[in-house]
Amino acid sequence: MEDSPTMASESSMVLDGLAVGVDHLESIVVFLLTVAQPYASWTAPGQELRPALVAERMRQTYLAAEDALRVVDGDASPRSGHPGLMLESSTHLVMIHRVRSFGVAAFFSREAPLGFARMATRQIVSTLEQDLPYPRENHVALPAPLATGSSPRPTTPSSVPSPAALDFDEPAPDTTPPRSIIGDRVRAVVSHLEAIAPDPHIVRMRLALRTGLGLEALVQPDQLNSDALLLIETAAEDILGLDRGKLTEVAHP
Amino acid sequence: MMNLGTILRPVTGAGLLAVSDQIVVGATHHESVLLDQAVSDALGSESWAVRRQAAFDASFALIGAITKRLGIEGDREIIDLATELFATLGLGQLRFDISATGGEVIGSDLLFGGGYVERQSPGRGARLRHHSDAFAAGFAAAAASIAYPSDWGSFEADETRCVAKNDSLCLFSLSRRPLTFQPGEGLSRGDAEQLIGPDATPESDPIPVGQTTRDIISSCVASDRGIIRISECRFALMPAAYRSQLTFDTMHLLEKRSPSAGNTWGPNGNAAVKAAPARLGAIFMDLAREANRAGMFHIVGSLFECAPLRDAFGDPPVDPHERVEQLVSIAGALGWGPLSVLEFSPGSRLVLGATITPEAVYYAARHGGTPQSRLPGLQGLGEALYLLANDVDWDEMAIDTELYRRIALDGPDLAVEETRSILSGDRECEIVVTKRS
Repeated sequence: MEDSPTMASESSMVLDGLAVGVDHLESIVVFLLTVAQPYASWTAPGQELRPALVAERMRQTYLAAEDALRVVDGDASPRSGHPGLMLESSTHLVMIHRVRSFGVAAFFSREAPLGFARMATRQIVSTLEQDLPYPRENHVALPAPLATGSSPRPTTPSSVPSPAALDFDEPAPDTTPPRSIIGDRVRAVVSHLEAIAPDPHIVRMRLALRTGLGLEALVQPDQLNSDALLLIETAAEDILGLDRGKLTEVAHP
Repeated sequence: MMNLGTILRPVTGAGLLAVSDQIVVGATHHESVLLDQAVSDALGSESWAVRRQAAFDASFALIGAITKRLGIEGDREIIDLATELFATLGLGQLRFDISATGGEVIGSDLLFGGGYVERQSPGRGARLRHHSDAFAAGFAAAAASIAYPSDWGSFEADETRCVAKNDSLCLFSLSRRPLTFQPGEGLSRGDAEQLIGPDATPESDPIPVGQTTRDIISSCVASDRGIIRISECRFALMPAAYRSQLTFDTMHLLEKRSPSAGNTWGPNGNAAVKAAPARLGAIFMDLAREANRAGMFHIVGSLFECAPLRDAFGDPPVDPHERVEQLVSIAGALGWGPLSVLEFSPGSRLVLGATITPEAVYYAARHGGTPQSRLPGLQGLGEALYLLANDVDWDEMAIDTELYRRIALDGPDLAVEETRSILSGDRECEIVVTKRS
């Protein structure tokens, strides 16, 4: 089987920027969920991942896992979001998420701490949620179920039903990530700073720089963890000249 | 006290200003405080050392050039010269109580610490967590090092009390630093002349508003406390080397940081994943640009509406093209180089040209050419001129911090782009400011 990506199979989307500064990250593969094709990929120098093969196998794995979870959780709703999948081996951690009609697989070396790999993958996915096209823009007809014989042995159980055809006339589902307690707290801190800090129009940039988290973390704080929140609150205290632990006038959500 | 015209000299052909052979720029407490603050945000506890070293290098070059030219050699004479120079430049007042082994320096009405306190407004204020007068510390250490030279090393100053931290005064402790001492290079006329080259187009005479502004600046005299004011704006002459070294050293430190060093472990054992160094570098440069935007908005606006200028030229022009030409000419008198309006669409677009700027001279002399954007000061100046030309009602508004805060929060969303630069081989620098729809 020809498993090298061709110019026709991958888009021109560049993922290099997502990998900058992310330790232990070896590859990112974005693939279509409707057909076994890679959409975009990035691989660290020295790695030998083959995007086309990855796209096919990860797609099958994710769809199977999603189907299996329906038994427990029911159908995915806009509020609950799509499930994330983690594969762990002796050499790799693989995180697979869904963004609309795409799958996103992030490959980390096994040395990557689990929490770090989860956080980094969430940030990659949240960026791709902005960049990947919506269904109207990539209208792709769904293939018939795979025929037996010449195709590789399927790894999914034969009882898996064909994915339902997407109705592109309906509005795109709400992919806004649900709000978190930490995200609400970060928003409250930022609002408080903008209300009383000197030069409120640069408060966000100052927070982004002091914490080292960047502006993206402040724009989408719902995916931050408690350590990031501690960095933000400490930076806010520094900006206001408060002693440690004195950021009490900010109302808890 | 001498007026600024006694010590200020033009750099012929470059449109820049110099004291002795060191290039200086007109500055306010706004951008001085904001740039130091941005460096502190970027580097944390490292920022004091970076700021102080930049100040030491620039001050050593400046004081050294003047003492050499005037033939001043005695330690007390050098200290007296440094004290008078600091106040004449509008930087505040320093009182030295030192000997060859060290001592103390008391600072009053310092541009940075005192300027920080001045910028706080009722309901919007913050006590600083760090010492703010790194420039004064570097200057004092440089003066002491020149006055009391030693093979053992130079002086180093630490600020032990600061008015920005709600102390009653600014106090510095000086001691010897037993390290290999390399004198600072500063930024000299020779650096500018080398960048211009022998075939440069001669600088054209400024329009009458620009010439009158030069005269106003030359006539400025600092008070006994070392303070110069233009309207409510505190004005000073700063060594261009200090601001440029501070900006670019910080930027390079951020860019060089290893990606793995950006990940920290929190107390809960989870990693707070940090942004890539390149993104943090871009945020820092945006803050450096904003610092100059704020400073230039205040000083250019204050000069534009000041009584001596209005007495000579009448009310601010109603025609927006004439207004922006006057504003640009005023900015050129502050040592930013020969500026010109290449294109102006009122309310939407301003294209500003500059054949040379102090930050370009610095970057070319220390780091060479680059295709990357390296003119945050000129970008900020462009934004300030756009706002002054389009978003200030000169009949109703006075230039003050409250006006700037209102415009910064509710005013137009501007995009600024460095489209040409002499650092990347172009004949001149070009900044395009456009209003985002």
